[in-house]
Amino acid sequence: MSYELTFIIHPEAESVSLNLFEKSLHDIHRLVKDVDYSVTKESGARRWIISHLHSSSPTISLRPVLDNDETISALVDGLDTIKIGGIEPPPHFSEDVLDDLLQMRRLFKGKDKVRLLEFSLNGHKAIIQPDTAGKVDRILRSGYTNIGSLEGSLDAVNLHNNPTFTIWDRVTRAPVRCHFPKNDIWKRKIKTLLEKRVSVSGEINYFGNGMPRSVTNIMQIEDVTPEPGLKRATFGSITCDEASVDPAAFVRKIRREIGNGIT
Amino acid sequence: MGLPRRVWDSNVVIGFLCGSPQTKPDCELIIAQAERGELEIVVSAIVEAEVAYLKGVEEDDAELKIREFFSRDYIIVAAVDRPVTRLARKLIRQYHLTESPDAVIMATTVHLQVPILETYEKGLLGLDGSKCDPPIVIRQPQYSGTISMFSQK
Repeated sequence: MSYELTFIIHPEAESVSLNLFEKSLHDIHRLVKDVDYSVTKESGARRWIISHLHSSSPTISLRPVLDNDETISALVDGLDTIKIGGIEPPPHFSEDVLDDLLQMRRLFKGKDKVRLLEFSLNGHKAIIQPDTAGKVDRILRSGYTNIGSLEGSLDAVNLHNNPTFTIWDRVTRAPVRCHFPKNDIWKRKIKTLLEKRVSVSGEINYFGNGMPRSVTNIMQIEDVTPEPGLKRATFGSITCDEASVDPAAFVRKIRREIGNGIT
Repeated sequence: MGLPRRVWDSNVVIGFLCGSPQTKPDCELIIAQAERGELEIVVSAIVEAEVAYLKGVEEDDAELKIREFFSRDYIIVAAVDRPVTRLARKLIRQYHLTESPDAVIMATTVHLQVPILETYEKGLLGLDGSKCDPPIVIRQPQYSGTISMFSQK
């Protein structure tokens, strides 16, 4: 079964101007693209096609060329979660996706504005309305910062304005936007690390639920691609008689020794 | 959806690397399953440090093997950061844990919502079935799957 994402633009006025229609489409396209990236890890290449178009209240149905229902469910369920409020981002709602929603505030401003955007998937409806941005803002303001490091594959480099790249965190499997200094040394460095497994150290910003959202003030980036040719650690490949007899007792003992300053 | 995950305590990793008879055959079979891309093993960063205390080995040789083990695609090293230490503090008080690394490893499991923690530590095994949110199973390493009829080297 192929799923469709349907959205309806409900204007404040009786009809939708071409300008508002174009702006709404642009913002929705960006939102779908960013959720899709967060779900599939595929940037840019995936194509979405219009499967239905009705003109009364502009109603558009979309579906991905390649079947991937998860993106559509993630989007509709996520919008539903945001409507409830709370400080945790829905699954697959990365910082980029939340920024997209924040930017959609513009559709609800001015004379020519949208009243609400309705999204649906098989009868399950979710909406974006004027108070959505406030709820998103609450999620973005929550959280905490640690100095630490994240490890993951480096992807999606953006060299415009404030340069960023994305890493796919190995622990949470989430895309994390990393801001790096705007100079040629860093640009060259980042380009050479594209698609490699890297460790990024700096200020790690987390959402309230512990999902990493971005890295700022990067101190170091290191290629941690597994080294070929290392001796393989197999069962019993390290000889330590004491540890092999009772590993739990061995660990307890070394912890006691560390505690007493004996190693 | 990602691959199923389980957390391994330091004593499991050390037991496997040192060839403890206790870890055979489950750990080998679990590793083989991970090699086939069927699961991932999460370890706390503490574990990566604790294996350094293995004695009676040529240090350079052991270090290279340890580095190789922790760099594998299916070994996920989790940081000991504030949410983990906060949760560890809570677990120490709640369950009167005497070893803070045990609390950190249990907290890592709960924080990352990994459903299984595998260990040989009696103190932790005794906490299986305790009320955690989300609930976790604490047990000795346990392979679940089919076993080849042909002997493995």
